[in-house]
Amino acid sequence: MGERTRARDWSKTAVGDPAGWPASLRTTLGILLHTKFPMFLFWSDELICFYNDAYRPSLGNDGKHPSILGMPGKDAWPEIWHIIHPLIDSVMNKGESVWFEDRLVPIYRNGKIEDVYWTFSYSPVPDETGTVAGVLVTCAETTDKVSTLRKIEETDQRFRNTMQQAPVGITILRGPQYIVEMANDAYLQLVDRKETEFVGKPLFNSLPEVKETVHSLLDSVLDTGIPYHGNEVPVPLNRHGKKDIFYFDFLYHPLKETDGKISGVFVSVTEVTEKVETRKKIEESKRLYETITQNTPDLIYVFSLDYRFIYINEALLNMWGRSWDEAYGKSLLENGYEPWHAEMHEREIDQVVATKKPIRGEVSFPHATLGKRIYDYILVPVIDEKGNVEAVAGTTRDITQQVEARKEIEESEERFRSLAQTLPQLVWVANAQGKQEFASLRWEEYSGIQPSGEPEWKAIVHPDDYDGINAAWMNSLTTGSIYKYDVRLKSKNGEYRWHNVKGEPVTDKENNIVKWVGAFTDIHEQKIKEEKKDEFISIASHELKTPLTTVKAYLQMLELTLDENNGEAGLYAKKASQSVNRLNELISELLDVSKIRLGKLNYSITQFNFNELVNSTIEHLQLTSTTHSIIKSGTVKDEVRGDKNRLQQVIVNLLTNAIKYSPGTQQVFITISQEHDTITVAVKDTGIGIAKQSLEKIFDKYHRVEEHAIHFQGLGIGLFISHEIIQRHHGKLWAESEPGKGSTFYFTIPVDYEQSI
Amino acid sequence: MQENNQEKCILIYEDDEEILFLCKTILQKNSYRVETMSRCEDVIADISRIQPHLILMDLWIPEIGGEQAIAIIKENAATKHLPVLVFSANAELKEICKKIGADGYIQKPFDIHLFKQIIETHVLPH
Repeated sequence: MGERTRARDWSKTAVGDPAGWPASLRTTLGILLHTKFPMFLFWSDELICFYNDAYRPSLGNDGKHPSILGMPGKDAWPEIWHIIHPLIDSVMNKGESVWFEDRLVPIYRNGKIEDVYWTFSYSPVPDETGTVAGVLVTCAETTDKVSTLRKIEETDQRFRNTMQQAPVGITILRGPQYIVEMANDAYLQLVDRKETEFVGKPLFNSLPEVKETVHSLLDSVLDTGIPYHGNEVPVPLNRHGKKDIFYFDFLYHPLKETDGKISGVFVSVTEVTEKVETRKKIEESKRLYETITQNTPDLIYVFSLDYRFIYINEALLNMWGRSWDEAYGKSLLENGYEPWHAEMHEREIDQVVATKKPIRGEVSFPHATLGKRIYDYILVPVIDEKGNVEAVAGTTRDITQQVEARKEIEESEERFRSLAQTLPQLVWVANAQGKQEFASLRWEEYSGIQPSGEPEWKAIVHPDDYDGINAAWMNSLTTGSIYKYDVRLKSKNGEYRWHNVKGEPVTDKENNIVKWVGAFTDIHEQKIKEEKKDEFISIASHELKTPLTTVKAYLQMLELTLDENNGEAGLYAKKASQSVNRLNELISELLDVSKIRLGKLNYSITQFNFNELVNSTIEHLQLTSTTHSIIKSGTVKDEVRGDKNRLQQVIVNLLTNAIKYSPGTQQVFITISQEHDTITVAVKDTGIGIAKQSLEKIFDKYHRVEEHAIHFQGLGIGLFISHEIIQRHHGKLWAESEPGKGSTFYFTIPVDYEQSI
Repeated sequence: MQENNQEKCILIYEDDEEILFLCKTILQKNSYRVETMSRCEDVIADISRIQPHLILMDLWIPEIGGEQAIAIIKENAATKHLPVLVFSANAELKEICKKIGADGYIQKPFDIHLFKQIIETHVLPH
């Protein structure tokens, strides 16, 4: 710069040629140009600029250097003249130095205005006259220092902001009281406290509930200076109005002063409650699944895509006789599968992976201890989040027993079928709901039709029998009672032949009906024989009654003809009449018995007044009995539904017997009563009575008339018929008797027998 | 009474000669005029010829049977007013009587008092 200063043509400047420069200027310039400290000099009224080498860098490149050398100050520094001119003026006028530190004085350099910081002093330079003629600027550019400091400040601020805004809860605690120096928003949120109530106060005053858990931990950090790392620590907190345990990860870090003393603890906290709870839940369900898979008798396993076992449950390990470590990660072959078997499953795994669909199969192979077994297995894809198959899970069940049981059932079914097919009967099996499951071949042989449904059935059954057999079948289905019916079935030749069906329910251990098995037996010949017999009895009794009609009438006419003079003859005629009446009764009863045997006794059901029936019956009987009075007691309140004539027949029968077997007495008794829906009739005599063994026999064996002929002899066949009639009314007939003291015959009937079913 | 009955005619259809004779005896004793038929072939013709006041019809009478004969009588406007009693040893006579639309029935064998009473009840007045 010395050279440049000397080389400069100064003649045209305000300071003029250097030869005329005052000594003060020369001296000052001498110092300026020789010093290594950056200096600048404004001289004279025009404040002509001088500067040294050390100052040059401050002017940068492509800036004021070297043009401003010798330039008036206001031309050299137009951009900052408004800043520095007042300072310069002040120094020039007052003669006092000014000092500035890190002052921003932007200057034009490097082709642009730059913010430049300076530490500088403006000092007055007096001339020979003692007047201030210039201002010496001693300066140092401090832009670098200032910007470094700025950066430090900014970093610090940024750090504080970061802390404040961090998603991690941060607090700084000072001293053994753990005074909260700061706490960021996240921390305040975690503990649900307000900054104003929290910062500046001892921690445990604000959060007493955490004291028990964390106090000792904080103390140890403060005492030893060793940071503490808490992992998923359960901490009780009063938060959002309720107290609960929450889980936190946290770091306690000692805050050390420059002298090494620990003055506080830096705390950063993250809440992990949700994570911990989720994990707990997962662990719980995992435990659950583990328990299930480890204890089920089914075999459960998972294959990796390269056919290796990545899960094997206890049952499967037991079956192999291997431990988890021996079996895990091994292939099928390595776990003892035969090559064909391993290849089969590998192919299946490939297929499950390719199709993403399960595969089910059955396979038979030897078990480690149980011998050859049959297994049912299913392989299913395990799909990952992206929808790819990540593994193949399998379940295998030992179905040996089921298969064997099924086989056994099939075999027994087969045996039953072949047996059923060989029987001459038309055999059928129906399910519990009545749907037909099996019909033997005989059906088709007989009818030409397979009775598979309602229309076929309707075609086979005689139209007159159709409703009856259906009602019987429905009744059996609903009540579980044996299914019995006589029905005419059409043969393929169009001939209807009588069949008797008998079907029985098959029950399980709990007594539930599981199916019905039955057969139709051809009873045509037998039925025709019975019909012929019935017809014969019917005709015979009719034929017998024709001469009986004339005999009875003539005897009656004879009685009427004979007068008192023919007393003896009159008596004979009367006795003959009685015998004829008895003969008539016997013929009627014979016909009834025949009909009972065929189940053809007709009933005509009406509703009637039972009291009136009893009264008129007594009245009628009283007319013919000269020896006994019939004493009646009691009434019934309801009308009765039943066959009036048949019930009258029973009462007549009992009263007639009572009179017949109490010779020498004058009275027989009839008592009627009603309790709820049951009517009881008791007919009592004080006659000869019935021996106990006879009494038992009478009532034990009413079912078959042949065996009873002997017992009924005497009592009359009428008692058998009475028993049948009462049974048909769903009532009971029985007797109590003591030989020598008399008998009482009872019967009960429901008020409405049709509803009592 | 006997005078009254003189004018009344009972027509009996019965194939058993003994019963015909018996009924005829009883009824004639009670002054009825009695006509008997042992076969039943053209009941309408019989009725128009005989002009009975009551018919006693055996259930099992050749050729057409009592049931059908009664049906013919009851379907014919000229004869349906005629009382017809069905006459049989059949145990279900009462029900049959109702079913075939007869006016009454006489059960064989019968009590002669009852026999006379039933006929008297049903016979048409002059």
